[in-house]
Amino acid sequence: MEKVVLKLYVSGKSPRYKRVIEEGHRIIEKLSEYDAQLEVIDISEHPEVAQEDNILATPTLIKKLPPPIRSIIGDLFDSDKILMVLDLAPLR
Amino acid sequence: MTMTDRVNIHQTDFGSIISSIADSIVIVDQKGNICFANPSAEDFFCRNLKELLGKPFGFPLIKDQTTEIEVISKSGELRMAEMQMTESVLGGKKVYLASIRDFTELKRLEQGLRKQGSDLAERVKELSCLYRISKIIERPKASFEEMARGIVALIPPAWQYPDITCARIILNGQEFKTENFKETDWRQTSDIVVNGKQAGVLEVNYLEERPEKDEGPFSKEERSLIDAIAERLGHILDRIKGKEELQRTNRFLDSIIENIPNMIFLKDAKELRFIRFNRAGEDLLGYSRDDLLGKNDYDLFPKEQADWFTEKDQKVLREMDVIDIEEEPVRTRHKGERTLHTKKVPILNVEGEPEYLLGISEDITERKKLEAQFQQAQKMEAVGRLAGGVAHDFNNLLMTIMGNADLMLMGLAEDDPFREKLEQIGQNGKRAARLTRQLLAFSRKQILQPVALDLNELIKGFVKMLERLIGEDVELETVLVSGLRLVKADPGQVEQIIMNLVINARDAMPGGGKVIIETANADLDEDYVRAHDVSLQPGPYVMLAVSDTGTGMDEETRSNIFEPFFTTKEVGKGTGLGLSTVYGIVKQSGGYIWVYSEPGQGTTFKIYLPAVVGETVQRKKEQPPADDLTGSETILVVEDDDALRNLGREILERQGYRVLDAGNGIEALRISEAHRGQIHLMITDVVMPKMGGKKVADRSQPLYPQMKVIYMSGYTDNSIAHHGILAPGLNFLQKPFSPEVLARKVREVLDA
Repeated sequence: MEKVVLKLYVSGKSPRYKRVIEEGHRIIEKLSEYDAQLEVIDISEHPEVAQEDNILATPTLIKKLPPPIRSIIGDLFDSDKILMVLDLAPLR
Repeated sequence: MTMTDRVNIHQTDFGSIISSIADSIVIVDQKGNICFANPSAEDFFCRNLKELLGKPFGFPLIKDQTTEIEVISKSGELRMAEMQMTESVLGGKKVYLASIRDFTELKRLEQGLRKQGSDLAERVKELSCLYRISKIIERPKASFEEMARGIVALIPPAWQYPDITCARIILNGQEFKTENFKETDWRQTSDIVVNGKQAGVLEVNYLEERPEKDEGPFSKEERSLIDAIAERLGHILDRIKGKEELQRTNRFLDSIIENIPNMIFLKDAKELRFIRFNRAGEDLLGYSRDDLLGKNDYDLFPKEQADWFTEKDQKVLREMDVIDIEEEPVRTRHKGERTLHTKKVPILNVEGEPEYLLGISEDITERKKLEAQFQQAQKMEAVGRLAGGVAHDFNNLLMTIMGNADLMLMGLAEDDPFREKLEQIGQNGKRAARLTRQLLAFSRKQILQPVALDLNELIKGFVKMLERLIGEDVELETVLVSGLRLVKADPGQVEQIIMNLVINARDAMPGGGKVIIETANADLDEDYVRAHDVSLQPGPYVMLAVSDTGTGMDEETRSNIFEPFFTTKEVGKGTGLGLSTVYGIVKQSGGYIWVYSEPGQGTTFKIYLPAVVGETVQRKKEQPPADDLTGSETILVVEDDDALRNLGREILERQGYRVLDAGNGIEALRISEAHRGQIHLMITDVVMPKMGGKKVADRSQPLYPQMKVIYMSGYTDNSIAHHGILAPGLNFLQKPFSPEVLARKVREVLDA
């Protein structure tokens, strides 16, 4: 099964990020045919990770695997659209 | 705009424009990496251009989408910005232009505003909670339990998260809690302090964890609120305790007011209506509280009295000062007119205006009666003392006059024209002497000489005088049983008893009637004694009854008639001593007296005097012939009155005696010590200055053991007679006495 690694960077636990994180999980659900995983990183708690990962702002969703690396900046609200932007169309 | 004004903008100029604008501009290439950033972007992302160029930035989800992004600055500060990414073409290549506007400050302001708004809402909730608590507290008659239940229910809605808030009050072992109460880890408490001591605790819990705030699980305001509520609970209890204390004090005062023997009443100052009355007041006025409350004086008393009371009330309220009314009459429902001593006190409200009028009244009717009686008694005492004093001197004078008249008569021939004059002097002297005796009887200073006495004889000899006494309208009847036993009594005193009772009977029959004097023998046995008077000695008695057909007496009068100074007669008419003297004499004589009377049925007094057995009436001895009254013995006469002493000396010397005389006790003692020879008899006045007769006799007796003593007096102190009854065996001459009486007494005593 192809591996999909998504990293979601947030700042704090505001309702907005709650929603963002929910959306992230929804994407993983849609990727049931992959070995997909979502890693949520709160950069307010781990600012060093932002530095290492070269994250400039939140929310940012990065597809680490499979290549190419693609990222989305800003609110997440439409999982289908996200998958499209990440170049991760669900398998049919 | 003219052509000359137009500025030619070169392509390179855009760079400097972009560089100088406040918004951050970032250009992202097709791979999503940064290919341009202006200085504002360097500031916003806290990185220099070199650090930014080529760094992944990301694509927007939707072209032209406006989204919020957040950046953590190097100092850890969260900065917020609004970002719009638009697709553009640069140098023939598709790029994204991100325009980023930092609204951290704006957001902070907005949040501050929003928070203030929500704080305001919270404050409103808190205030309304406190307000509703104060409403509960103000509710009259609410018990503490009701208040506590009400208050605990008001707590959750006042907290930020009402749905998950529960509360509990624990106080003095009682627990009041909301239905959803549960002990949890998110707990807030405040002590309830009553009278400076912790009495309980107020507790507010969250049922589940709630978002943490800087201040901890509960906000600063909530901590203040729980403290405020706990404080209020403390106040309620303080107040309830105070109220209880007040109630206790009130109960205490009530019981004092209720049980105090004086009438206490309270009137409202406006309408002067009774609003409070105690038991003594009910008893005094004869009205129940229900009859009195709400009434004013005019509803209860005659107008004249109500006017008086009201005038006094108004004076108190006007002058705002206590007044003391020493005497005021009041008509009661059941006890007629009573006299009150009343104190009226204004009770002022906080503004210093009279609100109530307090009255305290003492019923001084009895006291006044007693005072009057006491005054009467004092008057009697004074009159008695005066009478006694006068009688002593008066008797001496009378005796001198009568004695000298008698002596002169002795020397006169039968047909001497002066004889009649002298006899008249003698008769008038006797009349004066009788008057003196009456004075003495009245002052109870006379001397009793009890003898065996036949009451029938006494009454028979007395009837004429009594008939004169009672007048023509009243008929006197005597029913005297034959074979009457003798009694031992002073005849003068028995006469006094009969006279007093007959006068009393007469006065009870102003329209005329009948007085019956009755005698009988009576044997009072054990049964009779038990039925009548246990202090009575069973045995043989003589009954003397005086009855009338007069107005009779009611129970109250009957129970008082023997009281000294009790009289139903008008002031000045009766002494109030008549029946009490009767009572005293009867008691002195070892007897008993009862009265039977009903209003309209007349009155009967029954006197029982102990019968004497084995004694006979002492008949007056046959007077020995005059020449038998002489003697030659030595007699010492002690008398402070010179005229009387000389008279005595002359009478005795005429009879042949040898007479020594002394003007006082000291002189008498000196004479008796100096005398050579026998002194056979001492005749001494009883009442003398310096040394009384009894003392003189007692001191001389050892020198002359055979010496006899005759006492003479017009009245007596207690030296020879106890309570007026002469000590047995004493020889006594009641002044005034005639020369013949003296001569006979002397012979009698010397010969005995």
